[in-house]
Amino acid sequence: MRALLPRLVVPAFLLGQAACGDPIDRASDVRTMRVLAVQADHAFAKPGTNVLLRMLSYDGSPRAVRADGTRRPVHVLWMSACSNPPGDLYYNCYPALHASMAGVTDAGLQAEQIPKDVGGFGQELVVSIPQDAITSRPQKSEVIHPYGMVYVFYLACAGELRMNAAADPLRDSPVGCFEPTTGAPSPIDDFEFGYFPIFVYDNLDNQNPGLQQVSFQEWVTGAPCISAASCSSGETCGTEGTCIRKVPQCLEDDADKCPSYPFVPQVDPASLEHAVTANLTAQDAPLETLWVSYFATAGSFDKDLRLVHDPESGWQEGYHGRWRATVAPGTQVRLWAVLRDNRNGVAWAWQDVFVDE
Amino acid sequence: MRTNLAASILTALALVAGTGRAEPAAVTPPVLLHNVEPEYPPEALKQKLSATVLLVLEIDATGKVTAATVKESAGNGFDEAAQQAALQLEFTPATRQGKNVPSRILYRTSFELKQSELKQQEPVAVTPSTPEPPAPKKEDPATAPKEVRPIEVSVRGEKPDRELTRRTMGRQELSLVPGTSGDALRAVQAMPSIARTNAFTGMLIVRGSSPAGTAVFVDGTPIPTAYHFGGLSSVVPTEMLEAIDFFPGNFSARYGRVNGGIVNVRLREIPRDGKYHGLAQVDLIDARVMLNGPVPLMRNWSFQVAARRSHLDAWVGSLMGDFASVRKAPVYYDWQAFAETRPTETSLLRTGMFGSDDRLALLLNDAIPQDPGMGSSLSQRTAMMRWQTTYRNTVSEQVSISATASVGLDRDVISFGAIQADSTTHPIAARGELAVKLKEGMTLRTGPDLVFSRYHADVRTVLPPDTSAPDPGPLSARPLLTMHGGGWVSTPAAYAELEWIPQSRLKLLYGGRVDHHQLTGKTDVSPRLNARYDLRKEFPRSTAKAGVGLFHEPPQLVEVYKVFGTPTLRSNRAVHYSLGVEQELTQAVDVSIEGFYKDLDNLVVRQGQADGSLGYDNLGKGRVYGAELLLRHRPMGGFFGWVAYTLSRSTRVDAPGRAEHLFEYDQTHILTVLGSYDLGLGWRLGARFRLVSGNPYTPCLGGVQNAGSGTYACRTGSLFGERLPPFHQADLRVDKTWRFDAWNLTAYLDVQNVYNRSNPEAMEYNYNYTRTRYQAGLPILPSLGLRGEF
Repeated sequence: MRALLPRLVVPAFLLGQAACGDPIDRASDVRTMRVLAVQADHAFAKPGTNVLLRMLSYDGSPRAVRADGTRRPVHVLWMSACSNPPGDLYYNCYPALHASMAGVTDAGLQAEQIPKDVGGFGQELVVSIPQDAITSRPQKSEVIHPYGMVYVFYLACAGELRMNAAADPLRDSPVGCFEPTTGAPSPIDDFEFGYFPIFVYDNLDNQNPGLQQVSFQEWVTGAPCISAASCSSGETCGTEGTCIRKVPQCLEDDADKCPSYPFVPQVDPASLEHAVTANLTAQDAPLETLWVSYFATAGSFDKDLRLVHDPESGWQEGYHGRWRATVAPGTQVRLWAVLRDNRNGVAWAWQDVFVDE
Repeated sequence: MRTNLAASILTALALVAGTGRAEPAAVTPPVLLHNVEPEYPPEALKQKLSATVLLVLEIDATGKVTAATVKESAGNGFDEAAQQAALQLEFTPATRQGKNVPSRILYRTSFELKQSELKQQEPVAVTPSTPEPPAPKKEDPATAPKEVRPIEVSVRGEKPDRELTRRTMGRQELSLVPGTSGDALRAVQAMPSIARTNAFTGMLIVRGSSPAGTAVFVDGTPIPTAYHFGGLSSVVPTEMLEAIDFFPGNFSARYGRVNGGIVNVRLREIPRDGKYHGLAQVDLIDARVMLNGPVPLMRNWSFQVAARRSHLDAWVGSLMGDFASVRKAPVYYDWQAFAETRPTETSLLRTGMFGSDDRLALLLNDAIPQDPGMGSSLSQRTAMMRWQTTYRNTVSEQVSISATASVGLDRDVISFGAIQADSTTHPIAARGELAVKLKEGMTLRTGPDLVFSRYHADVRTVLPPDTSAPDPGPLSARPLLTMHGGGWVSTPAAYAELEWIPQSRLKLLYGGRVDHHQLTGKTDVSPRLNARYDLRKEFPRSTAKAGVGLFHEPPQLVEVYKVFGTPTLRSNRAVHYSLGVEQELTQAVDVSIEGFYKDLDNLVVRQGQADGSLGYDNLGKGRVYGAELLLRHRPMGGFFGWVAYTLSRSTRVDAPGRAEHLFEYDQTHILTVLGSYDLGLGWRLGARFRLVSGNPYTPCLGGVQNAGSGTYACRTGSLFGERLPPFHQADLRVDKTWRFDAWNLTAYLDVQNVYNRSNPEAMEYNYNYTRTRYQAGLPILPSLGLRGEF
């Protein structure tokens, strides 16, 4: 009898990982149009309820600031079209996605007007969870907590939204991002296409992980300001109207030799829950896995993401990020920490830092 | 003083090892080329003793005597003197149908005091049925016959070909193939028909079939995995092997349940010279010991035990760098213990155990970027054990029987984040064969091939990724499936083959087997027909061959178990067609060219079900076609080597109406050139060069973000629509052996990738699949080893 799981896949994967050198580029470097996170107000929804989705995105492309100094607009389209695709696989939603968007026109997209049941625009979307989100899904007999899945797709575009006639209905978004002036498809760094899965349970809840704030060099919040003069020594007045920390530019050629500054998310251990899911009872379920992703508009973090809690090895003390100021002087840098659990829970916090000479 | 050596030949009997008997006329016994006179034992000389020692000489295919075992002892130092001289004899090798083959002969040395001088020795012949050989005929050395014809020739390792294509590598070749560190199963991958695979994948891809389509047996007993840690080394060390037989297609009906190829590892026959022999070896990967000899207090029984432990734990931690800390050192063990006897001259009984155990546990320092929800802890244990008993008996000229039975234990434990699997299987396997010569030129072989497994599994996992489907995104974001329980899985089968030789040049093999699969409730019938025709029977022989057959491969457990799959699946099916020629060029060199075509259908593919769930169906089809060339120099004159070239194409259609795409391991060109030469003075030099087409891959046209986990899935382009650049690599191996009176010491240096080619092995993408580069394979990799044996 053959083994249930392919043998030795895991060691092969790990050795492959170990053999890898430096990554091609860093996920923590926000240098393109990026969606950094989407958060549902209820990580596990219930049938017949509304779920509020909030997006955290940032256009970090060098082309984001136009010649006149203004930032180019970013359009966010949400497409809510699919419940319980075969195998719970997002890509099996594509036919339904194309069908639901069939009546949408370029004009409608550009006017940001599409039927409410098809989707919406902007950084937030309210999704109505179908009443039959669970009952319409075939449930295996082994399922302890019957569930349903609702997929919401999005396209964040630093260009112009248009229907994409060339899209493959089995693997592409029906809407594309195009250059406003030429009508050509936008460069791949100017848009982000993705999905957010919403798990629907009758009797299970999951809170978003507790992330109160982040500290930069043990410094948490700045006072409101209108100029640098109203801030303390070592601070300056940021563009958001609060005092932010100043750090000197690092002039080292080798970024590894630069001093790194601790950027520490204040994670609430009490928000850690047992990861009960469809096939796991509360007794069998381990505690959630928690990890934090770091992002910076300039400079660099030493790690893109760190584990905060591992069900087997427990709480990880060294999960904080370390950021290096390899940035031109006079730059205001935004740093984010996005905290996630392995059941769709998301939270985030940020700070701005000013790089001085 | 004189040693009187006499020879008389009464008969020459060609015994074919195993079950059948060779045609006597096709066998030529070895002939003595270089004689070495034994030294009269000084003590025996003082006491004016004379004696006769009967030896069994093992002669390899080059004519060298590799072992001299005392069959009838004379004591007083005569045995040792006779053995010492016999080991220096040189013969022309025995031949079978024109081919050089290893042989075993009875050889008598008589020591007689006469005129105080040594007389030339000759082997003598006895009638096998006569317990006491006739008295040696005394002859004057000057008139003694120079041609030595042994009294009993056992031609080993050359069963009558019942396979259309069998590629056999002996222990010497297996242990010396450059770039394998002397590992036997890795050496098999240098044969034609087998695609090159990445390091640590542990797969055998035979003629465009899936990895699961090739089964590995140890003396007829199936084993679940052939390699430690996915390809680092074989689970049975080379020193325990006699040879490996590889059947790339159209194999005999005695094998089933796969539709790719068969690898059968033949365990070494234990030397029966009444002495103890041992081996100790250490290299950068592992250390091993082996001991064999007679079983104390048990007449006619001999034993062989071996054990091996890796010492990867000494250096893997540093390889991991800051990626992971090693919580439990990765380590593998394997062990073998066998005892055997020959109840009669024509029978063999062997019983023993073998097993392996791989363990690994890592604690990652960081989350995995592609799937941080998996956490940081990984542990895995893969263990296997078999207790095997084999009996073979050539009952008469007409009847032979063989049987192998085994019971065992397979244990697989994986823990990686939320994925947990712990399965224990107790397989019971039995196969037997009765061969009956119905009449001249017609032999019937039939027997059962049974596998019953009791299993228990506690599994919490997601459906394994399907390489033919789009990237499903992070595993940790997908709902888990669980299975707790167990039961029996039985797959009984029976087969029969009729070998018919209607005329001396033509051999037809009609075969068929019936397999029942209890899990699916399906029964498969697999008829097969192979034919060989000698265009020229004498040396240099030319043979044309052709075969057609039906092969079934049952779905894997994960595909039919109700939690994960679809219980109503049928077996994957393949029709194999082969057509080829074999041509001897010299005594040592032959060439074979073979074309093949495989028509695949009923392939199990992932498919959405009518109720909206995901399962499997038998909707896949495929075809594989190509040609292979093997130009081989058998071990002779201190050299062996081959040129192997395979040209092939393997495609699949996942469901009706879908486009045909390349099979994921399709490799258009596979070229291997290797050779190993004995330079003399204990030095040996070998080299291997490989040039292989790159593997197909499915390109990513960007990424699709999963905002729940913050990860990206590849937005897949054309399925296996692009191909990696070609792979080429050269490997070198140098051996130096120092021979001492009682033991040998060998040091070797095996260097993989000597010119440090950066071979692209996969595509590596950035975090969101918008930028890419090649992931290189292993750099130059030297391995140093030391072996002592007595």
